Amino acid sequence: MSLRKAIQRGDHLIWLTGSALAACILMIVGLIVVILVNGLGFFWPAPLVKLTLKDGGVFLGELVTREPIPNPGQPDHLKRHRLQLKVGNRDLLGYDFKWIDEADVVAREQPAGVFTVERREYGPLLGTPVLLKQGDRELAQGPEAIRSALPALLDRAARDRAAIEHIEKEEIGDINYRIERARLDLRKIEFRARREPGRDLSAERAEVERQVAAAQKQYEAKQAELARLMEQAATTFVTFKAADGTDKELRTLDVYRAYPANELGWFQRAGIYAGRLWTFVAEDPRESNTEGGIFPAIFGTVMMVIIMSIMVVPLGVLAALYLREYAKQGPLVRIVRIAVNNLAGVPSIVFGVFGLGFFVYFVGGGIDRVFFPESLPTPTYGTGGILWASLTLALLTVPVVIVASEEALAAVPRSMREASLAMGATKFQTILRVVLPAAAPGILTGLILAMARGAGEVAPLMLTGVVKLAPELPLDGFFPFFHLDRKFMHLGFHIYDVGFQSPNVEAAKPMVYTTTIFLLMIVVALNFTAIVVRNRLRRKYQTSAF
Amino acid sequence: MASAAATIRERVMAAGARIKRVKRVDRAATYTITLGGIFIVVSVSFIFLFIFGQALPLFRPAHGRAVGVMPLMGVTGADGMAAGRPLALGTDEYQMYLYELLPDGRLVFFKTQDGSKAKEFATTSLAGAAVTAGSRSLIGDYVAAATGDGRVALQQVRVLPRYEEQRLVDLETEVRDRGLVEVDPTHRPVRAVRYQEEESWQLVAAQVADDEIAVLRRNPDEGAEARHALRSNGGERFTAFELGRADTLAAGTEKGNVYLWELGDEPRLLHLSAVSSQPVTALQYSIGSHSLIVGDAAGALSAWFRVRTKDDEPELSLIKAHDYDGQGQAITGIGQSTRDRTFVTAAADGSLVLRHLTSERSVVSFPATGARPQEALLTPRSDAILVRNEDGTVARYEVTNPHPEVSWRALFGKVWYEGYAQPEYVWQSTGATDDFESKFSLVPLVFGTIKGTFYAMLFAVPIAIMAALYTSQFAHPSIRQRVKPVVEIMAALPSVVVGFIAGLWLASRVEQQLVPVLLMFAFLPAAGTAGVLVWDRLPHGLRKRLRPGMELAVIVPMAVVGVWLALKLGPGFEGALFGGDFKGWVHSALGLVYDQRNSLVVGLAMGFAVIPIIFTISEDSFSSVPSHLTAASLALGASRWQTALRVVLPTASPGIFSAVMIGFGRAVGETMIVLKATGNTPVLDWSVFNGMRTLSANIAVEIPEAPHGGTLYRILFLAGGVLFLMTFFVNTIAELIRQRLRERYKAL
Repeated sequence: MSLRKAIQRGDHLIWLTGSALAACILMIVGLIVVILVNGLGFFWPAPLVKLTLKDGGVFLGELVTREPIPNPGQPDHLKRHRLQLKVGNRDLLGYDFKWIDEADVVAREQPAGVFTVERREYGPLLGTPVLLKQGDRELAQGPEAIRSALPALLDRAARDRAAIEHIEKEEIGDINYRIERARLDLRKIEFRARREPGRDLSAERAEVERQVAAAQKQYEAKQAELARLMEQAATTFVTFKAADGTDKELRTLDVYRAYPANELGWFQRAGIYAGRLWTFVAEDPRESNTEGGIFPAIFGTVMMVIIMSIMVVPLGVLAALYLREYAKQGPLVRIVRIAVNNLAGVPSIVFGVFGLGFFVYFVGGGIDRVFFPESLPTPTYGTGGILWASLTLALLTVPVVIVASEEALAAVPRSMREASLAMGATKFQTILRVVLPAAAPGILTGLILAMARGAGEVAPLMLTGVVKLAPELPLDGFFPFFHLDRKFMHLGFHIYDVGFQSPNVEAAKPMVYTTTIFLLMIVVALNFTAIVVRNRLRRKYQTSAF
Repeated sequence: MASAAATIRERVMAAGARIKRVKRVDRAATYTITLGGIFIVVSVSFIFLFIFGQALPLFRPAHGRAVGVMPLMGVTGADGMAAGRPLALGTDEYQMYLYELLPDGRLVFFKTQDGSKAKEFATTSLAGAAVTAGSRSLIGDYVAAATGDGRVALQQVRVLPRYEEQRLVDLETEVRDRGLVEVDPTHRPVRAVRYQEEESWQLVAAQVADDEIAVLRRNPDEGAEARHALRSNGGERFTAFELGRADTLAAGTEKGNVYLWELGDEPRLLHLSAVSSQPVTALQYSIGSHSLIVGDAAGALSAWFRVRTKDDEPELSLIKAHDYDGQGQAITGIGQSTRDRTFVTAAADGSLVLRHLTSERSVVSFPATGARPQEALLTPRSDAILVRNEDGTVARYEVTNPHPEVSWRALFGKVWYEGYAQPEYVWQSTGATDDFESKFSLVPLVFGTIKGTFYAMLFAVPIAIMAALYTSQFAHPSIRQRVKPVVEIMAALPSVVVGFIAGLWLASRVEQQLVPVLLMFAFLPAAGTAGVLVWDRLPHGLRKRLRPGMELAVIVPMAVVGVWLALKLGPGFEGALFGGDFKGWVHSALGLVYDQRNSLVVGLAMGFAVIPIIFTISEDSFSSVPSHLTAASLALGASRWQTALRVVLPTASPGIFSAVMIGFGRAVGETMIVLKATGNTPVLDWSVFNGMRTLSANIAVEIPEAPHGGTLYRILFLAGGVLFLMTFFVNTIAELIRQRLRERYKAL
């Protein structure tokens, strides 16, 4: 077959359309590869490289990238290369990353004995341990000795931190919560006193004041305990020598993890990788979200999606039942159906605007005025919170559930209904016992798709209650346990915020990629489940047709 | 037997009761579901109503009413004689008191509620000298009392609110002495006076002759003091003058000229402009002293400000930016609001108009009363107008004007803002200073929305439709089965992820590799198409396994080669065609500036987000073209491509159209991608190399700073409503077309 003939038949244009599909596939694959490559490498304990420059400068760090140097219009445009080194030691150097022209490097080695130290502040510290001491007493000197002594001390530091955090967050938090409640009780009493001027409320007032005083006393005791604990814990110090020769002394209490970066076997590296990954998943963020973990964001995302699902299923199914089973089919219902369908295409930010105006200001403001006048002007429900965000997302996703449920209801074979009705069941019994169970997988598909959409939406949340850092989870040990008025963190917003608003974007970037992987995993897993459920469902109906 | 019958009866009764109960439940369910369903459907439409309901107050006209006229003249002097007509008028923020400066030098406070006298303060430094002129400054309540012998007593009225249980119960008033100055050493009587303080500099201006204004600038802390006399050219009479911020003084004359001086250490005449053919009767600076509002004897009103009309002009010129509807009678007083750009104008017949400087809107008008107003002022909260009449009475009007700066023209038309050389479309909702002029043009935002959507569609539509055509018509079923879930996953990617990758990864890559990226648009399809050359030359064994429809197996590697080639050849291309610096070439040859976060990046990212939607719907409509049509075409000898182009595409075209529409709807409302992949600057410029600000991103950026119920808040709701309407409208049309298409297929 000749080429000319193929072109005459338009085969090359078929290939052109195929190229469009190839472009789509390349883009999606490219996107996922970019995310995975950037995100998964983040926790890998990379070896440290020591570069000596022409001018005598010495830099120690992880090699991040190597890229051609653009110099438009010049002959060496993109011919020379530069290295990006993650040097850490922000407190000593003032920056985390350093670009070094490859031409300036005179020596490049992986020195032994250098440590990567993860600490409470200022990002990682890279250097050689030189001295370990307790108070003024020297415990160990030199890298080797310190290397064997350090793990035990770090274990102790971790335990101390846990104890301190327990007192700070749980016990003092509990007392603070009680004081705050008592303060509100006092204001409530004042409000009552104004409403009922004749009544004597001094007994109640005294009672509340007594509670406050007791709590205050406990608070002071706990503070003293905390101070004592801090003092005990903060006695060991370790000194590191950075690449440029400066010494940096750290309390071991502030060291989260330290490892000799160039003397690890694969197995050890994998262990550190797993440990860091676990920290990332299970811990709170530190250092304005650029370090630590994303646990509150995962928690917030999941909880919001759950609340949303609880709202959206009854609403969506009820509306679908009405439209499909009860409403008189006619032009009006057709219009309603189109409208509902199109609501799914309305931009999410519009729902956010609605949620802000209606739920937050109108409903929330109303609730505050009626139920929480004692805390005004500080709003309780009259500001963004997880409840309002979930409700807004429920509205956003209800069309998805309606459409899916309607389709599922329509797909239930007529013969099944007729059989049920012929046996004398009422319409409602038929729906409840026959139609809904048969349609359940379809409705479930709709719900899962709604959850996937809800989990990935960010724009409406930004208006209705998501924050970059929520000190308290919406679920905790204090009555009433669910705090639906609280603001929350969200993976999607975390990506937006850390990736764009963070003071140190370059250092935070890998973390954002990793967060993205988590969000994608949630969303893709939900979607995949929906696809599988739907395929099962199709097969089931194919076999059940008789 | 009887018992058996009883059991049967009991059973029947029980069954009957059960049936009744079941039926009751059924009925209840019917009602509940119907009501619930209707409720949900109604509440969904409520979203739309609510959003517009929040924006509606923007367009509600302001209203006002005359509260009454207070005959404050009842105050008598210490000697029991009538004290004479008041010379200046002021009020506090809460409108609890209003005060007057009387000719005997007393400052008398009245209760605004009933006009009864509350307290009075004597100007002790004047020691009983007759006061001939007075003034009260717009900001700071600085009161000047000028005498017949060229002296001016300076005072400041201070008001401290007193709260009891968070409720305002009273104000404590205090009059502070700011000194006594001799503004005219020759002791001529002062006809009119103005006084203000700025950063501990006191500025007093007094008209002491027809053509002379004496000015005193002093700083009591530093002991500095300077006197100047400002004279008109040719002795024309000054009829009105006003002090502005930054030591400026504007004066109008009987010939309709305006003089503008800068009173530094040495006065400098900045401008002398003819503003009217009539005598100037009233002058007022707008808040911030950028604009000068001028009223003349015929009742005409205009606003002027200084601006550089051309970039290379060395000096600013004074230009007329606004004309207002006249009032027919001489303008006798202009009162400026201290919080925004509304002002009230009073004419000689007592008619009042509340206007907005920027939008040129006459917000509220009050008819003529016959009283002759001498001074009109807006209360600090802009909730009332006070007019001092010639007969000494004070008329009070209440006004409600929550959104003065909004009008259809302000939102959608060109508006001449202060400091701009000509009217323009500008969105700038907040500024650094209190006297900032809000600029609420939605045009740049709508433009940005359309621009972003345009570039996204430009990228997405061809790719998505061609890919859908290939998938549905040419691809092997096994490929189709795998491609569809991939695209569905692509559709499910949260836009925040796409936006993040676009903003942090793609934008910098595109900036570094601009030419290669542009080359890719040509190289990738070219390489893929070139696969047709390779196809015939594939090894026999491989070709046997690749049936028609498996072209993708060749195209993907070829496309990768195309991308690689673009990356490799890009720098060479750039060197050969653009002297090695494409961005520099774009700047010098096309005059375009390259921003890192630009429309190209947005187009790519938003296109990526839109492709799956267009793809899915198009693929659906391509696949559901009845197979007998394609079979007939192929049987008649048409090639696969000819069939696709001439039979499938036309038949499915309404579906394609609706796919594009729905994709359009998605792109219009996309927020997170635009928010991150553009610089969010509201510019009116089609250039692909700079950014934009879309309606949706604007909402996300601004609403956290918009106070509940404020103008900005409502405008953002309006923007949300516009977005809602746009997408809802587009989607509905698309949906209707799709339904008709489905019916057409049924008929075929």
